[in-house]
Amino acid sequence: MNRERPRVMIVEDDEFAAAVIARLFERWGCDSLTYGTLARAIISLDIPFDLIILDVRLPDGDGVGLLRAVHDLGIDVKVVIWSAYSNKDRHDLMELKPYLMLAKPTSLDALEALASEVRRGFVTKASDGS
Amino acid sequence: MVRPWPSNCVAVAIGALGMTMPDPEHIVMLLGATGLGVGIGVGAGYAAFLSRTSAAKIQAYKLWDEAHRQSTQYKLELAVRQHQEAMDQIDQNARLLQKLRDELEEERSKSDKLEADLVAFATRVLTDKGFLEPRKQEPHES
Repeated sequence: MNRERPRVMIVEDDEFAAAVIARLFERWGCDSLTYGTLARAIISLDIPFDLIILDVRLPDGDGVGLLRAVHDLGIDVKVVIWSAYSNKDRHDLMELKPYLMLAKPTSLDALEALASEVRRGFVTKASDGS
Repeated sequence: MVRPWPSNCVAVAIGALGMTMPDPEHIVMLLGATGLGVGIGVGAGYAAFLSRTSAAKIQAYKLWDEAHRQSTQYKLELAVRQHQEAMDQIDQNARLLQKLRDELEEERSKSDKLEADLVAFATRVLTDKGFLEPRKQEPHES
């Protein structure tokens, strides 16, 4: 990451939630862009992001589509699944190895810790091999 | 006996005067007119003298002023004055800048507080909607 502030993509169809999460990440030292649909998120993958916070259930498809695009295109970005549903039994999703699975409701501390990690360039996690 | 010619001239003049203006009133009028003429002449001469003196003074002052302007001292005084004016302007600008900084800081403080309140409100809404867990403390700057 060569940018002064890391860039975060927030894929969430609830506009209010997306806006608030984006603002929180900005307060925590990141730049953020919000996307309400799978299509808009996928066609924006040419923008270099450091982190993607991905809601699985989107109006135009399953969030796994974006995770697959990231995987297949070899895009270097961490993807965090942020969903209200349990996705532990979704093998298609787990095979694509998301960086983290966050269940809604999520604690603000967890989100802030995520922002802190992305600011540090995921050094701690990477060195841990996770 | 032949008299010297000025004496003859005076004699002739007195004789002519005696012949032409024997009346004393005419003599008084002549003397008055002569006095008036002499007075006017003297007055005009004095006025011309004064006028020339005044013009000379003005000319002299102009020359002095021009010479002063060309002098090193004047240039030095001018430079000092311009320097002082520039310093005054800098001081004035510094005071204005400080005032603007104070106002900006005040506005920024208000804006930060408003933003913190808005984020706190928004996170409460997200908590109610089930996106976030309830939290005892409001989010703050990291």
